[in-house]
Amino acid sequence: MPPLSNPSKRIIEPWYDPKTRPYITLEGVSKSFGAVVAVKNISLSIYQGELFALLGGSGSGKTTLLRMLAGFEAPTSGRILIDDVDITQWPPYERPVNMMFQSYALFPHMTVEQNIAFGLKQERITKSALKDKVAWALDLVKMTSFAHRRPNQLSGGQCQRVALARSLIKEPKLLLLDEPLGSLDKKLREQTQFELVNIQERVGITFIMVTHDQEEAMTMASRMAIMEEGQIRQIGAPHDIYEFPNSRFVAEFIGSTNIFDGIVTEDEADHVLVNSEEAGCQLYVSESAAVPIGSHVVVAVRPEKIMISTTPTAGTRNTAKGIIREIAYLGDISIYYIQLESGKILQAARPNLLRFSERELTWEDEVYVFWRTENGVILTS
Amino acid sequence: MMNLDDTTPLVVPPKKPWHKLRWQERRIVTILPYTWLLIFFFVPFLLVFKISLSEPVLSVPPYQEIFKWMDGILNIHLNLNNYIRMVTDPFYAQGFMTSLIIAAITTFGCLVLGFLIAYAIVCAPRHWRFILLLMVVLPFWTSFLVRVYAWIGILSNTGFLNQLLLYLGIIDEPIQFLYNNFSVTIGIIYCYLPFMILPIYSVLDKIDPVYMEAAYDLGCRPWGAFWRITLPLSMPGILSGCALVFIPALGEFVIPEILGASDSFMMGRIIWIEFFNNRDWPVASTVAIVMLLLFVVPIMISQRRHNQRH
Repeated sequence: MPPLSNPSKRIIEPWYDPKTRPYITLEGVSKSFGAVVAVKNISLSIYQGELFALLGGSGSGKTTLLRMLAGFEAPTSGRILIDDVDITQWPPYERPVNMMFQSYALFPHMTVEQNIAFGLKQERITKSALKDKVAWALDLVKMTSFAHRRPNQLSGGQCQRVALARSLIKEPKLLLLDEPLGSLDKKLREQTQFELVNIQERVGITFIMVTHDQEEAMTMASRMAIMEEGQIRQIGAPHDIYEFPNSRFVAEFIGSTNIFDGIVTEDEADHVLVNSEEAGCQLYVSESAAVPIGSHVVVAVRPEKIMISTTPTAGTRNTAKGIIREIAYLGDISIYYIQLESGKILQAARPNLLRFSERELTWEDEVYVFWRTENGVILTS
Repeated sequence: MMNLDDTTPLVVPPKKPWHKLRWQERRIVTILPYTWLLIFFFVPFLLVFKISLSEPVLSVPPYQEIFKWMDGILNIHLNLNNYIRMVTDPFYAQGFMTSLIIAAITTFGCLVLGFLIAYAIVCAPRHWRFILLLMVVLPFWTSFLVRVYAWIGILSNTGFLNQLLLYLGIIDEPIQFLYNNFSVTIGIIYCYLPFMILPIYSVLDKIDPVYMEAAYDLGCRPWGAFWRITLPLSMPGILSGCALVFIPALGEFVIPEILGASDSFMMGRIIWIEFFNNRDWPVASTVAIVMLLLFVVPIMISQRRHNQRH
């Protein structure tokens, strides 16, 4: 998929530049537990300074992949390279990789300070150097005044900061984060997201994060990989994946989407025409599908890209008539569930520009929906 | 704006009586064990303490009453000689030392063996653990005396161990294993091992394996992770296991009697001899009291301190 961004921005997007060497490389990595295959032949390149997110549901293999990077699981086949060094067989205590655990795993018998210093105790450094580094790490996560507390005297958010400081103090080449914000409540999660990104930019360490929360992945990640059943379905920057999903699975997994089944009647270099009984109209998408005429395809349109009008629209393409069946009021936006003449229910999102009682659309209203030709996505798989 | 005053008095939570009830219930629950301790520990302790301050006589019971009420005169007859004897007569000091050394060695032996066994059980696959734990407590189904006697069959000059060593050609003539402090130590370690294994096992079992992973991840090798993470986290189990072995080992009577030398006196045997051979109840009581104050009280205080810290 071609990038949307303009060429000058690509400096911070090394994955578009074939000359940049990847920092972390996975080559055909597989892992099976007995008969169960958790990770299937994954190859992946991650660049220095990235904040890469592995996004997937439970059982998608994302955690197993992370544990293989940390060295807690050995791949059944394949290789893992960091900075051109094959570390596939290295034990976790020799890898230049540190991990922030989902449960934080702070040692309960040590103070915050001792927890943070733990990773440095193995290294031959002077006492004063150790003290300086611990002070730096405490300051980085703003926990200096809690240095002598024990983990059971800290809140969830404070534990998270200590865990982060502890895993950063050895300045690893790669930091792994297992559901880093998973055990924080919603408000704290939103604050911490940006803080984590800021810290990542300050220390310049490559982060790989596992999450099941797509909002978290989209806010924080430079790129993300969508995983399902041990395989990667799509890799890309959050906006690329959202706007250009490569399959029905990804389109439905990331955000919500309207899917129309149809048959290709015209396929040119700059557009495709799809006949869809579900939509009750011809769908015009301004990109090439590169499939034979008569193929079954789906067209995906995001709810916020669908516009609602009370008067018929000019033209016959990408437009349909329907009745509002449900309205989900979310405060900032409302989702309208509109039943088309074919019986299909369509989702359309609209910002609530007016107060609830003053709005123009309500239940059982007859409306017309339409969307711009570049807002549909053709999906062949 | 909603008017809060209209809505708040509608629901009044019945907080007070409920709380009071809970508090009373809690009192009853805590009173029970304290009553038990009062009746079966503190009162007998006072009785023994009273006897230790009396003078032995040839009568039933074989000691003089401390308090005598006669014609409006209260006579208090305190005999401190027994306590003075504990300090001046080396026989008792020797006994305390022997008990202390044997109890310390057996506790250490139980700790090393017990920790290894408990660790092995925790590391074993889940379906094996139950069987392994059962094997730890299975000897309790046999009589304690029979189990101690069985060691005579193993350790005696014509016993299994000597036969084996002779057969293998490691020794030319039997070694005297039995009837010395060695056989006593072996016997106590054998009998008290389960009391060390079980508390350590229950603590080790609860340590989240993620702590070990975190230690490895931060560059700790397996041995270092054991010393710095597993061992400190299993301290509560180690301490209660040591208390469970050390305290009864100090006063152990049956094992030294069956497996020990006739001229080696541990506290348990001294108390037995004073009570039943010499019929000197006051001295026997004094030994018991001194032992309690010397060893058990410090252990209880240190345990209490440890509990307060965590």
